[in-house]
Amino acid sequence: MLEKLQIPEILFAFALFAFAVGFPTIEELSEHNLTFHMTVQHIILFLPGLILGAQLAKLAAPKKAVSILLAIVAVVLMGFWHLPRAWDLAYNHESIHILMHVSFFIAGVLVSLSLPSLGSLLKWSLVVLLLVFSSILAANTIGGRQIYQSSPASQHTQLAIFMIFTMPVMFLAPALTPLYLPRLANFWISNRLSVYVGSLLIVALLVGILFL
Amino acid sequence: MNNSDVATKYEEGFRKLIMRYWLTALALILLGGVMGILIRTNQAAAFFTASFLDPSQHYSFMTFHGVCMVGFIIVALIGTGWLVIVKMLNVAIPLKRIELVYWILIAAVVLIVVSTFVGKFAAGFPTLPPLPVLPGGGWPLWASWVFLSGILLIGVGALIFFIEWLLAAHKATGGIGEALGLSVFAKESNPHPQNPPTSLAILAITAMSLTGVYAILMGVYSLGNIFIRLLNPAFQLDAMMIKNANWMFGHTLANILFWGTFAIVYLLVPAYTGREWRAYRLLVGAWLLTIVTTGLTAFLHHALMDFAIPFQLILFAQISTYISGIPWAAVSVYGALTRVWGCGTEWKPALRFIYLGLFCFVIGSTAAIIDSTIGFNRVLHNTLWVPAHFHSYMMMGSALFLFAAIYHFLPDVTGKRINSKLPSVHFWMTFIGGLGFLLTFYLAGLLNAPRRFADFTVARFPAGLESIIDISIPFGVVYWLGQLVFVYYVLKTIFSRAR
Repeated sequence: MLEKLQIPEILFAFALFAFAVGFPTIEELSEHNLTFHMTVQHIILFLPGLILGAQLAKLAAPKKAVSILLAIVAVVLMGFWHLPRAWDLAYNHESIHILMHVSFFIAGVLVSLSLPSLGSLLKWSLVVLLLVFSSILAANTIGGRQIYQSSPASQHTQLAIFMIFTMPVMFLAPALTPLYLPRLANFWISNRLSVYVGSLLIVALLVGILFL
Repeated sequence: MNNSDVATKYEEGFRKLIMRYWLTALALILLGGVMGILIRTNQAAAFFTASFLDPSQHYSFMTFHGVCMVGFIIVALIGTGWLVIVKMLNVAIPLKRIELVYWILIAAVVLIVVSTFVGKFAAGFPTLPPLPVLPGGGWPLWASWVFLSGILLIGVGALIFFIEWLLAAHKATGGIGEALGLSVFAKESNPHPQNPPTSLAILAITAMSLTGVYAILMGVYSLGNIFIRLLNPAFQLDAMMIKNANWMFGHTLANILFWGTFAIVYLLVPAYTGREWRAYRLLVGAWLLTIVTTGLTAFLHHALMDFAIPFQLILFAQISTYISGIPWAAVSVYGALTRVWGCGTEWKPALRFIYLGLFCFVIGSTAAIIDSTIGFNRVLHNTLWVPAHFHSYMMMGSALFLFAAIYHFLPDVTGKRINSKLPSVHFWMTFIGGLGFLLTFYLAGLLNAPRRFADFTVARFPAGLESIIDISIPFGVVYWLGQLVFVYYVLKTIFSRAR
């Protein structure tokens, strides 16, 4: 059973997680920039969860009903930490902040575990929910309304711009992924080098953002 | 009662329900049309004698006119949509849900009528705060409650239809991605060979339904905020937030209705021209762009003059709106024209209305692109140019596609076919009245005549405006009479003895 697991991927997931929470520049940028914190850092926390979840699914893929439940828990987890009070609480208390980061990692695991058993209709429901969440966040922050007291108003506008700019991607990526992901997955499986290429690309992306 | 009796009964009940949807929709277009003519005549009267409607009455009629006309499109489209679900997706007729949605929409109409005619609610169709929550004595707060509940009910009715469609499309095509035609991008052969190739009509209604669920959830969020403010006056309602959330709902919902009516174009053009029209990469790609621009980001063009909106978003709004025109103008219209060119078909009423509607969609899209250009918007913002462009889509676009659908499906639904010159009369009255009315609308917009004004004489109005407003009335009346002819034709068909 265990031979199904791909050890480099699991190691890569943990390395990515450590990178997101332990790399000083990421931590520093996240502390001072709402958009960076909410998007770049939390996505790097979510990704290892996704990779690990895919490995766990090989050992024991949950049934459809369990998958729906896991997906709901993941959505609630992610939605909850975006509520202004929860976000500010996490920002001001180190232990709650750690809990928030672990939540994003766990949400990644849950999404990855549940996705294979969810039908196309439920997957699209998740996409619509993601768009609604992003739109609500964008509508609230477009005019520079300071919903998170821990960050200045100007950063809220920046967040709104990011949300609106990325909404087309939030729709197109899941729409086209089923068509293109199998080919990417084949490349991933057949070429271990991709693990290192992937990590290098992420580092390059972050360095690029730092210079911007 | 054996199984075939049940099937016949269902079929008969189903037909009656579809007719009920269509007749209700036609009653709405006539009623909304009367309101439209009344408010335009009121504006004209102010130039020569005095307004005969007081401003609060004018604005409540205007509010009713807007919702009533969108209501016409929704009721007619959902009615036709049920027909398409049953015919194309081969599902068992969900008779109870069809009836439920019908009565929800009727309840919504009643609430809108009560709030605008009895309660004098007059905040306009977009219901932007603070007006619904702070009417300043213009109308009682219960009217706001009733009106917004009516809007919410329209959303609920539409949501049931959208979910029903998504479930049926998912089952019939093998997945939502397949229903959206995404398999045309796959290099591998059709992953579901047992399913038929994606129909463009299915693509258009699936795009409408999927984006519709998003729009209605945004509506629940924005209306929910207004309801909370009505309940608790201490609740702080952020005007910018509610404006954006409202447009994420309203702009998206209005636009996806156009997508639904394009399904009629995709269905009827091949039927009349005898030329196939399948999903291909360029068309599906154009639809994806429309979903992500018109459906998700183009709403921002309503904020072009809002100083609090960052410039990057204003620019993005302009680009999004430019891109959103591709499926209409560049792909679908081109596809429709190439199919009809040289096909030698007879120009039956349905086909005439389709092509006139497409022509007006091109006019409306061009006007929208002009208005979404930041420089032009500084001049045209909140002028009559804006209603001119959306009347091009609604009154002379989607409405015409729906007339075409009724002409096409009426013999099927009633089981009767009559020979009459009335469709031709209907077409020419719509052509002359509609285009003439649109022209006066655009000209008034170019003169900078502001929109949502009961009486232009209260401020310095541009020279020539009075003549334009005056001329628009006979055109509006001709258009309205044309629809009366259509209603007469439909009733005549239903009650005729011919088979």
